[in-house]
Amino acid sequence: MKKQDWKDDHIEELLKQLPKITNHISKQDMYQQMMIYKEQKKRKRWLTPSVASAVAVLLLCILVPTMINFQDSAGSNIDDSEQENQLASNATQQKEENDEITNDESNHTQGNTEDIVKDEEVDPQEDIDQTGDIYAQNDQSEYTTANDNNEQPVTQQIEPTAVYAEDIKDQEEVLTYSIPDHNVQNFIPISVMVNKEADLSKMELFINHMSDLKEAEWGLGELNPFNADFHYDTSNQVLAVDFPAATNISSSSQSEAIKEILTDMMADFNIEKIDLLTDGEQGVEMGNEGFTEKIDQVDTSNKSAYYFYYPNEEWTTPFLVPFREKINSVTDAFAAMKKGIETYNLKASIPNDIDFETEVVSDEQLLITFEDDADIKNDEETLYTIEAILLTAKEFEYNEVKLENTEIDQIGRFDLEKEIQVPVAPNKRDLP
Amino acid sequence: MDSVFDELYTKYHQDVFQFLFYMVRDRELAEDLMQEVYIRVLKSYDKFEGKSSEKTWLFSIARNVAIDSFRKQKGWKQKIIEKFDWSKQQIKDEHPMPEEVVMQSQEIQMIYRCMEKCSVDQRTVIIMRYIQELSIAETAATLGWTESKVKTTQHRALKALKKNMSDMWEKEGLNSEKTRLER
Repeated sequence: MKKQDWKDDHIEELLKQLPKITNHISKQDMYQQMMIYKEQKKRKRWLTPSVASAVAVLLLCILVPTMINFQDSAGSNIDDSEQENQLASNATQQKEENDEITNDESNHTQGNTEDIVKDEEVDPQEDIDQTGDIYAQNDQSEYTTANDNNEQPVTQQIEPTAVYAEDIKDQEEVLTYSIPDHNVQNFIPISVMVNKEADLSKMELFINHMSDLKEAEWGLGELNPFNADFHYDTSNQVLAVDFPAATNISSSSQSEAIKEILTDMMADFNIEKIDLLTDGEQGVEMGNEGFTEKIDQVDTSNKSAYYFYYPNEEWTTPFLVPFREKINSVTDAFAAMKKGIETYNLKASIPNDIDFETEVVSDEQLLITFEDDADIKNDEETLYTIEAILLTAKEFEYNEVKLENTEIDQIGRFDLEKEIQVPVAPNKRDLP
Repeated sequence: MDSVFDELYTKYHQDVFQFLFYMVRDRELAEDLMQEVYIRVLKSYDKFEGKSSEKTWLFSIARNVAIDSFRKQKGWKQKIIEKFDWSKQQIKDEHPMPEEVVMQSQEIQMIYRCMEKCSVDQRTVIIMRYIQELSIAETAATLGWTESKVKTTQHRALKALKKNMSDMWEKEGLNSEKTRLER
């Protein structure tokens, strides 16, 4: 038979057509049945807790002597006595678990109480059998976490690189500067948080804090190598960039850098026009470009994929750097991020052993389902990869990303059970 | 008769029953669970603060009752093992299709059967959204989830249903058509 192709809306239509199911018990009958059920429940309620308590006592009687024997043979061996402690706590846990189950059972007294009694009678025996390898049987997940902690105590503290909504305090503003690397090849967006000032616009704050940036410390080139002055006319949305007298920007890479930085500012702050000046006079000498009076708006509609950039080999935490190019979809961007761009010294931000499927759930949300063998760990590398994915998703105007099919449910601060909000801005740095 | 019971029965009995039925897929069990729902509702009606709507409150109780009944069906060992991974579990049931569904088209019968293969969370969202016609916000309030989580689960559920439908169509499309004709 020909394979049928089902569409979402057809499925939705079918679901809506599922018949109404009605219940014919009258109000009176229902009420009576309920009252009878309630009575039965009340009468049986005392039984299960008593059984549970009896089992708990029995369990203790059996476990305590076993533990005392263990202690005797332990002697001065510290390791052994540590195991004892664990055993003791596991035993209590086991008891608690039992209690919980029996309590749970008490909610459903419809079942044959005799069965419950029988069940419970078998339990302690099984529990003793388990005590031998209780570490393996009991709450495995907790034990593994403990193990991980021993090997990698750092994993608890891994920090993301970007700024997230919850990081920003009420009185703070996030400013993102496009700072060139030493080769003036890549422009790294660096975000700093500053206090808002009552009568200053964001653009004015941006200009005021330019001189506070620690580019050299961060392993980057200079943002304003010619010490230009910036003035912003808020009402006309015109930015004036005034270079000191006799400035001649001879190198073409530097003039390109200035243009790039200024066009980025233009896009970020909705600036209408940027005027270039030298010592208050219109225009500046810009190498190959010649005498230039203003910066034109450029087309910034191309989307960026985020890659890793390391200023040098000693650097362990990457900068997450957008590379603007013509990309059709977020899926294409993720594919590109697996490769990196060698000529720009941009490294792949998604490792080869992490494969996933991307689906658009809504205009706001992306769903990423990792392949079964994707190597997702709670470590820094994986965290940075997730951040690269989030920042790229943001570039394509999604607000949140849900990650699925991961064996763990937490990476750094991200709770993988929930949707992760995309960052506010990349590469957070502190100002002195 | 208790006036609260009287009012809730009149307003919501059929809705809640239908919800429970599609959750547990067994009319008798759904009737039994209805009693449990009323007991829990009457017990905690005083504490109901009207923060959520009466309807979402009732559905959230019904959902808990249904989930508890699933747990009860399992042995305690399984319960411990699966305790950590409840949301992903699938519940198998072999109950016959109810008469109301048997009278529908083959496609509707198929979708009813495919719902069984969805996870409990997925099935809950599908029933609430499409059969009970709750909004995303109401579903989120009932389940105590974010709206995003409802959307994701709904999306996942439709995808799972699509796949199950295709598989079933391929495997037994012809057979079921035959049975239908004979009937």
